Amino acid sequence: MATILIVEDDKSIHELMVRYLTMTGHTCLAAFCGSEAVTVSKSQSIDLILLDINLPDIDGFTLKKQFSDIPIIYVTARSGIQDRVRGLNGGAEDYIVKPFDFQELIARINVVLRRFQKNDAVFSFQGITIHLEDYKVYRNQQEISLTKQEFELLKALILNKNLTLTRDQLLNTAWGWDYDGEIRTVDVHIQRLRKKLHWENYIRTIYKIGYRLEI
Amino acid sequence: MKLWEKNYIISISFLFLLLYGSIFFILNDSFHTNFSQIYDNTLQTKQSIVSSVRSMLGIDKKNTKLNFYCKSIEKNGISIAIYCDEELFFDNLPIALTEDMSQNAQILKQKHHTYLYLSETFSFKNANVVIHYMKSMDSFYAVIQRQSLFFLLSAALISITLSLMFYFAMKKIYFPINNIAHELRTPLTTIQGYAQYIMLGNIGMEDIFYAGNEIHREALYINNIIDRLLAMNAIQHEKISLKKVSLPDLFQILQRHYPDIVIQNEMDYVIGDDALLLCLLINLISNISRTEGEIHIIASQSDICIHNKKDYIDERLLQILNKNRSVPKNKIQGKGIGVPLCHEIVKIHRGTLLYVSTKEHGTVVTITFPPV
Repeated sequence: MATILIVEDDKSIHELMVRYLTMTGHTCLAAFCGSEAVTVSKSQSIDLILLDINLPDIDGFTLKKQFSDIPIIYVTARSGIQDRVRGLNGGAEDYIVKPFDFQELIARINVVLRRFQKNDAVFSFQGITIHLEDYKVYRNQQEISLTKQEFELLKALILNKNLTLTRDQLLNTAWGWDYDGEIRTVDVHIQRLRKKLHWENYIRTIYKIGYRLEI
Repeated sequence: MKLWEKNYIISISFLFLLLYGSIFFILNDSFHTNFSQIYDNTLQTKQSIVSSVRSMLGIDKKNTKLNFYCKSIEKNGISIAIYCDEELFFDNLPIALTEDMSQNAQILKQKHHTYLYLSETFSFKNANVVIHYMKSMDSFYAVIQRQSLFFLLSAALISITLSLMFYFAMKKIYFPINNIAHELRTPLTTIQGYAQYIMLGNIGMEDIFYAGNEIHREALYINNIIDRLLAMNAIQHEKISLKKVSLPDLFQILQRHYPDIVIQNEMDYVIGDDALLLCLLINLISNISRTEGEIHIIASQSDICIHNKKDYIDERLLQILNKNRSVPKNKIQGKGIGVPLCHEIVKIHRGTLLYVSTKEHGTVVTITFPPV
């Protein structure tokens, strides 16, 4: 997974971001002001920066110029259309306004990482190797046959590991928002997935909500 | 550009248009009035010169007296040329006559000099006499220039002062709304995030407790912001009635918010608004209780002192706090809207607010009320 620098002066939100990103397998680096962010970026290799605009010492737009080769997502309370345009025109990959949904934040992070090919293409756990881009799953070099929907479900669970995904979210991911079938279809496919991967103990049912891959 | 900035630019442009338009109108009017006055005077002078010339013509053959007279009026900035049947009698005009010069009055310019040109024709002993008359207008234009410069400089000064005053007034109105919107979004993000974290995250009891604590803390903070907003709303709309407020009752309510504070009260009441005073005390206590240490409140005579032995504020920040200037963002430990509000509340009560802080004795905030 990726190394993400979080530049956010509000300690509470900072801590929350760290918890979410760590839970989904990313490595987090912390900076609470612009100068700290510059220092950290010089000493570490960073895949992505989550940058607040209202920082104590410098504004995020100015600070962005110092990170020309690292993808940036602005995470800010400034919701004005001009700020958004300025942010995106300035070269940011995305612009997220507070308050935001943390699952959406993770999804957007994954999109940016995929665009920059910084996401792990292969995920291994409990003897199972999953090639996320090639739609292939192996156990001890032997390919396991999954349907497209099963693979999409698996991919969503991996990208949001340790987070509960609702049945609706899973349905939208694997079948698309215009799917007209029963929501219980998800349960059937999850059952099959568990059996095929022998992940009965890792793909947890969250009562009345959905499923979670616990790693 | 933000909406208030657009409004500001439109309003200030209209104001400038009005200001500079008025100045242009005043200058124009003043120029015309002064010019017509000078023109009238010049016409009168010209008539008297014409009469004098008429009486002097032909007195002696060489027109010595006339020459002497013409030279004498030159000292007053008046130049003339006299032609009798196109024969030149006298000419000390600074600008050569041309054929396109009409009989009417004209303003003539040469290099840096300006002249008012007039001419008069009359008959003398069957001869046609033409007098060309030029009066220097340099002093008039110099006065007009000085006047215009004075007006423009004054207008520039007024416009700078007005635009700055207007800018800060509009910013002051806009700032709290913008700032509070920002301040509300931040705790809401935390609350939303931790609620999701509890619901969806693979976390243990310790993390659940931590998240719950964060939600609780941020909810209290939002509540505090709402109290401040209500206080600010009351201040802005002047919904304030100053009356006797019982201090023992006020401290009792305060102790519900801060059970650990130590109160020594020798005052019965103060004249003020109970809700605003409570808001003031809560904010001041919250400001100096960010570090550990026991909070003491001492109320005696007309002062209420809030003391924390373990809190220390550096000298620069102390000056900023006492002068009610805006606190630099990196020095703000809270959200930065508390101190200006405290000063505003104290001002309404016609009192003073003073921060004193030393490393040895900690920080003391003193509110001094006017004597009852």
